[in-house]
Amino acid sequence: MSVHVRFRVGDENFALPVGQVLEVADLGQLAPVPGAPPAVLGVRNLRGHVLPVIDLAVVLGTAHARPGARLVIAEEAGRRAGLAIDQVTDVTELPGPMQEADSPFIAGSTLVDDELVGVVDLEGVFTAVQGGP
Amino acid sequence: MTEGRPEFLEIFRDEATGRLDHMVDTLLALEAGRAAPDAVDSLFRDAHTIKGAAGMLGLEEIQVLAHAVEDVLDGVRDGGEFPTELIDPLLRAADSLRRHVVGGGEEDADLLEELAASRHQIGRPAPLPPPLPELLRPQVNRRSIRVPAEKLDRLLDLVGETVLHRRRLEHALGDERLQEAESLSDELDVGARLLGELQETAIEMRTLPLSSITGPFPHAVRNIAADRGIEVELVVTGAETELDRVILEGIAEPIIHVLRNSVAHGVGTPAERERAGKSRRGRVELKAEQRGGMVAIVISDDGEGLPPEVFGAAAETGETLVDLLTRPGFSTAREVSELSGRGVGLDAVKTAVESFNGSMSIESVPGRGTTTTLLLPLTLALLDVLLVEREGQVFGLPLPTVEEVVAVDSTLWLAGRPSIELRGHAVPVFDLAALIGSSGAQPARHAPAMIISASGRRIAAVCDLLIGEEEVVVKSLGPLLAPVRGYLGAAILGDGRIALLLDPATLVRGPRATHAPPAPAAEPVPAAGTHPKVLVVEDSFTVRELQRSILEAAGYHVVTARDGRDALRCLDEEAGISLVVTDIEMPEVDGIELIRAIRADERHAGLPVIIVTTRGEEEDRRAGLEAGADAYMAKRSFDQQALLDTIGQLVGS
Repeated sequence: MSVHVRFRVGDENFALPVGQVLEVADLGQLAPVPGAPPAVLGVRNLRGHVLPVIDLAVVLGTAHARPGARLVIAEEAGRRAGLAIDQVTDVTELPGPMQEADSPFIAGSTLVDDELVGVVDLEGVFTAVQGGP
Repeated sequence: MTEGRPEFLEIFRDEATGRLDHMVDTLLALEAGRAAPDAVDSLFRDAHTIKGAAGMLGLEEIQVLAHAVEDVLDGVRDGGEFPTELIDPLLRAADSLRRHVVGGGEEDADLLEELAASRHQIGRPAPLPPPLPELLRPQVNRRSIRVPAEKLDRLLDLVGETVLHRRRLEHALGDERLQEAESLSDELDVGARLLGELQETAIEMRTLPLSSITGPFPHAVRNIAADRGIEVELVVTGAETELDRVILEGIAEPIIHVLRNSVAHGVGTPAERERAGKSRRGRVELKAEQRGGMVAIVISDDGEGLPPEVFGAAAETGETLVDLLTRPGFSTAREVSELSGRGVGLDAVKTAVESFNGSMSIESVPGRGTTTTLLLPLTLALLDVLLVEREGQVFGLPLPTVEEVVAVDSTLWLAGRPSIELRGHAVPVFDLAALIGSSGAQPARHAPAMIISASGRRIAAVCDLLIGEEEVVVKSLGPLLAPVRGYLGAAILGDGRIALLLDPATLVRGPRATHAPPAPAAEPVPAAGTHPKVLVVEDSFTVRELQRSILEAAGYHVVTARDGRDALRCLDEEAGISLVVTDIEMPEVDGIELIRAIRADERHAGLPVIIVTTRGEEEDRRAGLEAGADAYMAKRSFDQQALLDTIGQLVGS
C-alpha cells in the first residue's frame, strides 16, 4: 500500500507513486523540438526551467484525440519531464496486490472502484523516450 | 567527526591540492635554480599542514607519506643548500600524495623507503638560491565553498524567472499607474538593477581561474621532457584568467595534449637546439588572456617550427594548418608523423574546443617555433545569439558563426541542388526548417538567409524573420533530450517563450530528413516588358492544368500540348515560345523524342527544355539530359517553387 497520484489519459486510468510526482500544472505553451522522438511534444518554460513534455498517450498507446491539457511533472533518477494527461483524479492509497501488466511501461495494475489502474513505470517511459524515435 | 566527514574531506582535498601544486612549483623552481630563499621552509610548511589535516581526518596513508616528506625536508631545512637528487623522489612523493588525496592512491613502500634513505644521504649541494627578493605570490583566498553546478544553474533559472516576473508586474500595473506613482516605477527600476547584479554574480560563480587546472602541468611537462632527453621550462602566465568550470574540466586534457606536442615535437633536443644556435633548454609558454568575450589559451614553443613539408601540403590544398593537421588520415600518415608528430590526437583537441563553441588555430614560423591558440568562451552560461523565426518558432544561432544575413533573390541550380551566389561563390542554400528535420510552408520571396560557417563548411539557411541579436542564458534541454542532436540548449526569452539554440556544426552538414531541398523563393525573371511564353507538354490533364495554373500565377503565358507530336505542332504554329516543360512518358512521341526533335531543328536548338517526370531513375535522368534537356525534375519531389526558380534561371537574361 502506498500513496499514488491517480490520473486519466483518454478513457484509461493510470497512477504514479507520489514520491515521483513533483507537481501538477497546465500543459502551457510548448516549443516543439524538431528531431526529438514522436512522444516528445516539446519543451515548456516552467518557472525558468526548460521542461521536456511527453505525450503519455503516445508512449502508452492509449487512444486519444489530442494531448492532454494537464501535466504531471515527474522525476526519476535526475530525469525530469512533464507528462501530458487529461486530468488528475485524486491522490490515494492503491490497494495491493498488483497484477503484472503486459507492457514495458506499466509496473503493475490493480482494481480501484471497478476500474483498472495501471501504475506507470517512469523509468521505462523515460528510457524509451531517451532511446530515440 | 564521522558525520561531518564528507564535507571536511572536500575542504581537505581543496587545501591539499593547493598545497601540492605549490610544492611542485617550488621543487621545480629549486631545480631550475630560481627558487625563493625560503623555498625549503615553505615546502616543509606545506608537507606539515597536509600531514596534520590528514591525521585529523584519519587518512593514515597520506599522514605517513606527508610525514616522510616532512622528515626529508627537515634534514635540509637549516643547511640552506638543497641537494638536487632529492627533487626527483620529492616530486614523486607529491604525485603519490595527489593520487591519495583524490582517492586513487596505493601504498608505495619503495617510495617511503627511498625517502627515508635520502634523509641520510649527503648529496652534492645545489647552487645557493640567488638572493632574490621575496617572491610576490598573490594571496589565494582559501575561504571558499563548493557548490554543485546544478544548484548554481537553478539559481540562474530563478533569477531569469524573477526578471520575467518583474516585467509582468510592470505590465499589470500599467503605464498610467506607473506615471502617477513615480515612487512605484522608481522601486521597479531599483529591482531591475538589483536583478541584473544578481544575475551577473550568479554567472560569475560558475567561473574559476585557469590555475585550478594548471597545477599538474609543470610536472607533466617535466616527465614528458625527461623521457626524451629534452630540457624544457614551462612558463605559465595569466593563470588567474577565469573560465567556466565546465569548460575548465573539459579542456585540461586537451591542453596537456598540446603541451606534450610542444615538448616532444616542438622545442627539440639540446643537441638540435645548440646546432640551431639556441640555448640547450627550450621554453614552452602557456598563456591565458581575455580577448573580448572570449578567453585565449596560447601554447607556444621556441623550437624550429613545423617541418617545411607541412607548409607545402597546406599551400597545395589551401587548407589552414589546423585543418591540415586534424584531417583524418593526415596525422596517421607515417611520413608526416615522423616529420612532426604534430597531428597525433590534435583532432580530439579541436573537437573538444569546438564542443564548447570555441575555435583553434595554429601558427608556425620556421626557426622560431609553433603557437597553438585555443579560443574559448568565457562562460557557457551566456551566449550571444542571433534570434530568428521560422514557422512561428524562435531559434538562436551563436553569433560568431553567422557571417552575414542576405536576402535570397535568386537561386542557382546544379544537379537538383539550390545554391545562392555570394560575391562570386556558390553557397548551398537550405530551408532552416529542413535543416533541423522539421517542415513548413515555403519561405517567402526575398526571405532572409543566414550565412553560417562552421567546421570548415558554409551554408545559407533561410528563415522567415530576423528578430535580432541577444545575449541569452543557455539552459540545458535536460538528460531526456540529450540524445537529440543539433541543439546547444535552449534560452528563455523576455516574453517567457523558449528559443531553441541550434548547433551550427550540425546545421552545416545539411538537412537531417530526406526532404527534397525546399527551394527558397526566387523571382522568375521575365524578359523585359513581355510575359515569356511557356509550352507545357503533358498527357495527364490534371498535371497539365496544375502546371498551367502555377505558371500563370507566376506571370507566364502558357500554351499546352498533350504529347510530343502535339508539342512539335505547337512549336511550328505558335511564335515566341521561350521555354518547354515536358513529361517523358507520353503516347505517340515521347519526351525524349520531342527533345531530340527540338534540338535537331535549328530554329529551336537553343530553346530551354525542362523535364518534369515521375521517372526519377538515374538512367532516365541521364537519357533526358543526353537528349538535350536543360533541367530534370522528379514529380515525386515536385516543388512548385523549385520549378519556378528553374524556369526563372533558364529564361532570365
